Amino acid sequence: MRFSVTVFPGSNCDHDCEYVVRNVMGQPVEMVWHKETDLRNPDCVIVPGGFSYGDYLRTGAIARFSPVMKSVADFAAKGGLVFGICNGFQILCEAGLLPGVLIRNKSLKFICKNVYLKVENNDSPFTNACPTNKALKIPIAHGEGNYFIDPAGLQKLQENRQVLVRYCDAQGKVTEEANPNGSLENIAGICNEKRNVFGMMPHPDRSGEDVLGSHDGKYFWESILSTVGARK
Amino acid sequence: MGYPAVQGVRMGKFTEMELDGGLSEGDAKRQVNEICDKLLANPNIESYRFTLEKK
Repeated sequence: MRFSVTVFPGSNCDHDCEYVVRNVMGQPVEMVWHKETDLRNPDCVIVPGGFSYGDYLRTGAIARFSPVMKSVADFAAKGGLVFGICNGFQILCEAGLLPGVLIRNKSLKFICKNVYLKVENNDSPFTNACPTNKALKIPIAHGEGNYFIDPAGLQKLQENRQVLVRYCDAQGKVTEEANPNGSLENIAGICNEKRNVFGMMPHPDRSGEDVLGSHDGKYFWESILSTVGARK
Repeated sequence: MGYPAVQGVRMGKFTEMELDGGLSEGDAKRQVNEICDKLLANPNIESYRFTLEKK
């Protein structure tokens, strides 16, 4: 299957995404500069992490105006898979492709460490190969990962089962102590109503093989491969 | 810092924008609202208000 990775000024996980897709998963990948509008016919678009436009104004607020984002929105509207990681999640929220917003961590500090994730539901193109009975070890690296949405929005997310991953402890328990950044209800990642756009703050692009400390991120990539394989 | 009189703090952003003087007041308000909604404020967490002044 074909992946495309969008590249903004200030993206810095674009090559982590390229590496995991090409070298770990063995799939072709195209890098698409933010000024371009041709996504090169992908099955899945990855909006990578980093500090697009230096996080000026708000994280992701300026990147959403890049020409490539119009193409990403059109691709998503046609049912294409869009996967935002870290700053990519922030951009997708600012672009209105996902509800809510990522605000400053409760501690006000940048946090870079491994955390545990509970896959809340694997009924999605991005999590269908993820185990739900074990905590996945995946790193976070962000200053603004505190997910927030108003009560009506939260209720809608829950009713539609759009919360796909939550922060948990090593035993898989979703507790306040296991919440690294103050996210509402320990939310680490959500999808849209149609389930073809997914954003998460932790980095499956940096946890695809044991030499990096964990291979648990691979479950997400395997999920996408199996979704696209089944579509074809 | 030793200022016990401070009971609370609220921080925000302040933006000054210069508009084409030929715009009607209605058009100016409409455009500033659009700019705030699309870029300057995120309605999930921020509200905004603005005033128009003649230079």
